[in-house]
Amino acid sequence: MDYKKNYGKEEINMSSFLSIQNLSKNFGGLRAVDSVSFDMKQNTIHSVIGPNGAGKTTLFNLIAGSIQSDSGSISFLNTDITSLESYQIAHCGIFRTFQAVKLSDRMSVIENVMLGMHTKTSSGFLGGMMLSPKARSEEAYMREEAFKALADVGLEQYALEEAGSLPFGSQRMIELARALVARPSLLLLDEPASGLNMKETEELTYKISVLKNRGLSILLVEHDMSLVMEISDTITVLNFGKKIAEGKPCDIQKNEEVIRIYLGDDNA
Amino acid sequence: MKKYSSVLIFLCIAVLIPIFTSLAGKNFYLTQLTMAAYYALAALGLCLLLGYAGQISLGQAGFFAIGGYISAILSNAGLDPRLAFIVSIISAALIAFIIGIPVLKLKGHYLAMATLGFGVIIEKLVRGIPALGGADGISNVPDFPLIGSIHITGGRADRMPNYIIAFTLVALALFVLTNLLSSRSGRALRAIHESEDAASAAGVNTARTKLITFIIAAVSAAVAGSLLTHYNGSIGPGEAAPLKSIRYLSIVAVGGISNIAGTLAAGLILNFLSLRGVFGVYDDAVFGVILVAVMILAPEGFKLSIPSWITKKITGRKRST
Repeated sequence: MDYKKNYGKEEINMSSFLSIQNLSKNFGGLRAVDSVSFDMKQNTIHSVIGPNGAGKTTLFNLIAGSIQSDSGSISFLNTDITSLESYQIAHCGIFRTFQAVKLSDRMSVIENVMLGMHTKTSSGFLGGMMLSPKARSEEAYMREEAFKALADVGLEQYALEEAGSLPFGSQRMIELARALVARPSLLLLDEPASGLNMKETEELTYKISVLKNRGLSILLVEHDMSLVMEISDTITVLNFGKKIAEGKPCDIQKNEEVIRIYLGDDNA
Repeated sequence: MKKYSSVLIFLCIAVLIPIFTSLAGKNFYLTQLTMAAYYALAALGLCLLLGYAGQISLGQAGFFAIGGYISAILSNAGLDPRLAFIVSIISAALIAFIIGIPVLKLKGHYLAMATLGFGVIIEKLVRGIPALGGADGISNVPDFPLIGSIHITGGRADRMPNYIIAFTLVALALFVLTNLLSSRSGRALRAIHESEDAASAAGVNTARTKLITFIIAAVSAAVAGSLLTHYNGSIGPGEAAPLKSIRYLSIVAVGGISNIAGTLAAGLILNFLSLRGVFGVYDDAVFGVILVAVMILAPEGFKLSIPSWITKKITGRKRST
């Protein structure tokens, strides 16, 4: 369990926050991610964009540990996390949201957020069954933190509702709270604006920029161009699994190849 | 205290039952109620596994038989039944651990088939191994000395203490499961039910959590199997039959699937009726029909009127301080 040992010990080097080297993933004959490399700096918002099928979600899932790469490496804070499973990735301080919100509908809102405190607590089955003092104090701690996280996204009044009974936009925010309650070192957002209306997207944009100002590092995969251009520090553009451009939003907007793949080229 | 409303209601009912039976002069009902309580205990374990963690098992009767047979053999060989009990529970937990690691990687129908296969193997073993008595099973299992002069045994004079023992055990199980479900590990296993990805992303080691839940379910069945064997003084291969596993499954289904209080109620009532012979020759068929009916009419589970609001209290409402 190297990830536990190394995490936090290393001096945080700005250039080695999240480093992806020659990462590749094939699905059958399809090369979904093709030798992609990029570095993400701490306390920035780094976005990955690209047309449908560009490999954004695959790249995202590789980093989150939901799928394993065929070759290449991912390192986070100078620790190799390439072959870790997703729960181990969480223990490294990397937390994610899902494009299609994944909450436990039958658990209350607060319980869903409390689940996000899993890595910050350690009481087990026996402690939970027997109401050990540790389990009880951790329970109170988890509840308190979860309430704060819910208040942070403005949903504390729904804490005791069933998560499945709330509208989609609120569910997305509950999921965000579940990720934030663990105080992530790196937050992975998978298309956070999908399914949101314009007003909700605006609120989300504001929320993300507030999080960045608090010192959070965010890797964002997103379709909504206005959101990406407004909040990103750096943008990586993928097309057919390959990285075709990288830079600041203003540079990306001017990049001819990016314009061509987004606006379409009649002869392409 | 509202979290424990189902435990309190159960205790009240448990106290009222013997009053009614003695008033009605039908104290012999307590014998079947005691047996029903042990079966309900095995169903409670399955409810945790199936209803909350979302992992199906058709091998619950196999673990029940493991607990019962090991207890019976060792006790008959002269070992202190209490020691035999501990050995049988540890054995069941170990077997669950060993088969759980590969089997729990499977999902849905595949998991159902693999656990069914386990159940079939156990049944064939207990029928086939001569030392286990074949079709006759094992009889003359000694009493289980609990504390002092109190024994787990089916003798007429011991009817009331045994009723109390069995119902106390079930109340304890209900209490412990209620605690678990609103704890860190309980939320982890409940989260696995609806989205394994989300639980994993939150840092839950899903393979380990499922395995522990599987072991808890196996242990609940083995405890029930061991103690009921001492109560009956015997165990037969029928206890290991996959049809028994189906029976546990239909009890969990009728109880509301994700509902420990409902499972307990259904387990007590249906087993009591079955043991009283109400279903006659259609005994197994009744449980089959019940399962099919629940799957067609209410795949998410019927909500028994009392347990549904209890469950809401257990899972839904807990005010923070």
